[in-house]
Amino acid sequence: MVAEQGVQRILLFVGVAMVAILIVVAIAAPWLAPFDPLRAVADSFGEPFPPAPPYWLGTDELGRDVLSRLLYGARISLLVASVATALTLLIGVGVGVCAGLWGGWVDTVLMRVTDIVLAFPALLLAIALAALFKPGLTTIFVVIAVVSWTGVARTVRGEVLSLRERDFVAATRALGAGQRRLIIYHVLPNVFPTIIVMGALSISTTVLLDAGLSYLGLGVPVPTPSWGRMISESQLYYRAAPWLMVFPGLAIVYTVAAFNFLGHGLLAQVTGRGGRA
Amino acid sequence: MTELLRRGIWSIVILLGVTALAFGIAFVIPSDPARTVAGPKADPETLASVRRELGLDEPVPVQYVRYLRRLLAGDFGRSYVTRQDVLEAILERLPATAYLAMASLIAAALFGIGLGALTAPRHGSPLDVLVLVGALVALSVPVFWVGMMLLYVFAFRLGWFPLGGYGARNVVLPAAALALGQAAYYARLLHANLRAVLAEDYIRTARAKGMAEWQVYGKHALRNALIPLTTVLGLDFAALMSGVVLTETVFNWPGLGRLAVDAVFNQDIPLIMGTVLFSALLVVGANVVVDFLYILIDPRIRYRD
Repeated sequence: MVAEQGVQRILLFVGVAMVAILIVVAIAAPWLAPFDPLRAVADSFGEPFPPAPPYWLGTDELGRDVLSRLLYGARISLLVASVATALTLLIGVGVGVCAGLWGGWVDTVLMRVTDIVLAFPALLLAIALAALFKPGLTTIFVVIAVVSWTGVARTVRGEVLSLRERDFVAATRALGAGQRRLIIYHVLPNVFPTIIVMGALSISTTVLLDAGLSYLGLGVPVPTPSWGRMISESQLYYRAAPWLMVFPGLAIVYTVAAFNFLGHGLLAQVTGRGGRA
Repeated sequence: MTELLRRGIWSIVILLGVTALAFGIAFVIPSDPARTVAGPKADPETLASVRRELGLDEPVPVQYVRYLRRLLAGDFGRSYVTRQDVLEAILERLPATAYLAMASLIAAALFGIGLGALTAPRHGSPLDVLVLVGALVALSVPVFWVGMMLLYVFAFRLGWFPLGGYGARNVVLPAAALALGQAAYYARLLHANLRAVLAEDYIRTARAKGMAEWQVYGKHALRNALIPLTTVLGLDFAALMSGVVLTETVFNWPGLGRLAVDAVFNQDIPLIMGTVLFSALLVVGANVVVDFLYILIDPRIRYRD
């Protein structure tokens, strides 16, 4: 068991470090990027330049610097990930707490609704919704949240259910505390660690979902640099310029892995400490 | 028996809920459902007749019942672009997707279960850590990117496999792309299950009886750890469909996923909604089958009634 703990700790630290680097890079993109990501800076129209100074990761078929686009793409990825995940958590925690706390038919109804939404393959539902509504940032936030909240709801409900059995809930109720008080001061603080873990894991699935949507052309509209769309645009040139496909993909893997390490590292901490009854 | 009945009734409720949600998305939310059905190029006469057919002036519940009736009759609508019956188009593409899904499931199960079974008893060893981290990374990779990388290396550079299309050699790369994430998931799941099972009393008893280690592992531990995996197969079906959409697009595989993506590009709403609804119905169906299988396989549940 000791080795296990050690490994999970390392995972957590690695995850934290990777996420921190990512956030710093995203914020500092305007200063770190050597070129304007939206403008052609090299004369490589139709014939992308391979990685070589000053275009460290090469250029694309329109003459744009890949590194700069990658750095700015980090901003968009993190923006979409954080807002969509915030929405996901909002809906998921709301549903989970209500279902777990009130039980009875409220729980049954909410869980059936969860099952119904879960029956739809996430990406399929997402592309159908994205196709029906106007393309744009808000649509992406909402679409991703709509398909992602179910996992959070189920987990939070489980937490709340096990919390309900604990003595302090009965004690609080015996002292005459109302529902609101119970939720805000007792239930939520105890579910908080779980929410953080679900948040981290949610961000990784959100980034993947956003990448998939962008790849299919349903993500952030042109010309904002988006890793998923960079990969889809690279398809025409993949024989001559494979770097156009490799680097955005590695960026996605790095980002998702960072939050996966963080999430799983945190999960080990939370369950280790008896986060679950 | 009662368990089966209970599950059966809930499944029907969920099926109804799924159709209701699809109905809501396609007909209640858009401002002019007649246009979404008839298409952007439809003339006023067609629109009027569609309106009458859908019964758009009637209250929503009545519309929903009509919609259900049409579904039960197999009418999922008609594609704008090809004027083909949606259900027909879906059933045409279904075998290809099933082929791909099966191939990737088998590969993922073999690989994932193999790795999980291998590393569970060696918990904490370097191999175990490697597999754990490897699994997390494998789960972090976008499936369409893996597909493209596989295409580049094995099809374009090495020429071992064709660059896309349909067939036995063509299925290898897309199945591999799909299997990566799934295998990682199964490996971790089996690993966790096995660790829990190996700690149980009856394993200790079997060992104390003098049973050979491989027998303890194979006959008792593995068998019991594998049972919960069957339920996962059902839930995983929805995730598989999502992966299939992207993989079929990368490899130009003529299945349901490609159908959905093409429909989205053409803004072909009936086809999109038909595909989405059909997939959801498949998922519910898969879950029902898996539930029943689980009840049959796990003797503890059978003997409870």
